[in-house]
Amino acid sequence: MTADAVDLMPGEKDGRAGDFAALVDAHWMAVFRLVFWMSGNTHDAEELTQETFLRALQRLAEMSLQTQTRAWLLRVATNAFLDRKRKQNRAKQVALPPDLPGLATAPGDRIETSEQAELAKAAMTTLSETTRAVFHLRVQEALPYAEIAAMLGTTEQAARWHMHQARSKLVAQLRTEAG
Amino acid sequence: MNCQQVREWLLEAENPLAGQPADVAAHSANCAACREAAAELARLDSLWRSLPLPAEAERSKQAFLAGLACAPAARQAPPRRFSRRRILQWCATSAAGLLVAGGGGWLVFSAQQAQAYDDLLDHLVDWNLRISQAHSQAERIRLYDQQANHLRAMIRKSKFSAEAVAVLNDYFDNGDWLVSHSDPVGEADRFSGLADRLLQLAAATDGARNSKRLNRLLRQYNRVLESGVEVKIAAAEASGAMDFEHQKKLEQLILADPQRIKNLAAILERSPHASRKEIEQAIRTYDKRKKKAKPGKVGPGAGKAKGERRITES
Repeated sequence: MTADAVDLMPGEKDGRAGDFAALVDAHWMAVFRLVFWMSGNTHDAEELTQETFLRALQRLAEMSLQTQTRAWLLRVATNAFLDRKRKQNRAKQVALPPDLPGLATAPGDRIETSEQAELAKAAMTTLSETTRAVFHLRVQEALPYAEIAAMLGTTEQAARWHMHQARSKLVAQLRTEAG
Repeated sequence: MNCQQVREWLLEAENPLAGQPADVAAHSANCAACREAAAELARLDSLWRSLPLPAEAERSKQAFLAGLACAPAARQAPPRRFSRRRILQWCATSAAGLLVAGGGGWLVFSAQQAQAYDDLLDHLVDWNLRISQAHSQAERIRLYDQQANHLRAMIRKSKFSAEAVAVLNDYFDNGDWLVSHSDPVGEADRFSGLADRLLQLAAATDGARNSKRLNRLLRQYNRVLESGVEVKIAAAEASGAMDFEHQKKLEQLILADPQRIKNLAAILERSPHASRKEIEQAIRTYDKRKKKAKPGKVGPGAGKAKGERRITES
């Protein structure tokens, strides 16, 4: 974390603490979801999500100017993930193995939905982190390719290519397992 | 357009079913296979959006929010140290069950920060205990001067949260206090408060993921408890010169022991492997203290202190 000194509760006088809690409540899961699929494990996802909101606290002034708070937070989360990855590469740390979390299924759709979802998740682990991130940001968050590209430090064309890769592989995997 | 071109477009499309260019739409209108390919990609997107997250997602959110909720209460507490300490103890207890890696709310650290923080905290603990154990006030001043500027600079330069820095400042301020006071009961009371801070940090540490950190914090907790609190209580008792105020102070200190033991038990339950040895040692210390707190000594029902009159029934 490249943080400057953080005043965690800058606004206890005027209730901004409560606003920040509301923001955490509104966006935590979206951030978690992104870093979970990028990192592939819950431990890193928890740390990265916390890191994201701590960074957001440091930059409340900047965040208050954003019209799209969630997109801004997802960008911060992506940067946190990339920073961590760079540090891990430098320290030659071994990344945690991916989790394959259990699945909650709806009655009546149980077997088919579970199998497909498990297949989709398993197929995801074969994709690169960037490809996973592009797919998730486009499908889950409906962000345009231009914005996704800016977040990930790549071009729009490259982002489209990653989406192409993700869809091709996921569909192929699901078709193969379905027989 | 042919099927291959349409498929290529679909694989890159922001939305496979909507916003199709005219030539793609025209082809798809006449090609069932390409329509099915688009529908298949839309189903894939829908499947992805429906995937649930692990339970840790919600738990970690609640832990973070719990930490945010604690911090303003601690800050808005009256400036008296005792009330603030009580509130922070409550925060540690209530957040203890919800915490995830790195700690709760205001105590959240990245792994790198945690290391730096713990190193500085160790340094401050050692410094305090050395000053406290010095044989003379002159020695205390010498030990204080050796490190004060360096420690003050380290705290100022640090990049931790305000609440985390507050813990470090409490230790630094105690060093300050020690060089201008020579009062075993006062020292025991102050070190007890500092030990409580360490307990709070330990309660906020996920032992499953950070066993080394938890163990380190609890070791320091025991050091402060034994060398900062118990030694000073023993010195105060041995002096035989405790007045009524001193007695009250020690009673209050000991009255909080059941809660401390409860907090230790909670940590032990969550992280038995990382904490057992140190927690058992701490509880033994509290047991010894309880046994020593007989009438006439320290604790509730303590006997007549210097200057105190007792009304006896005839």
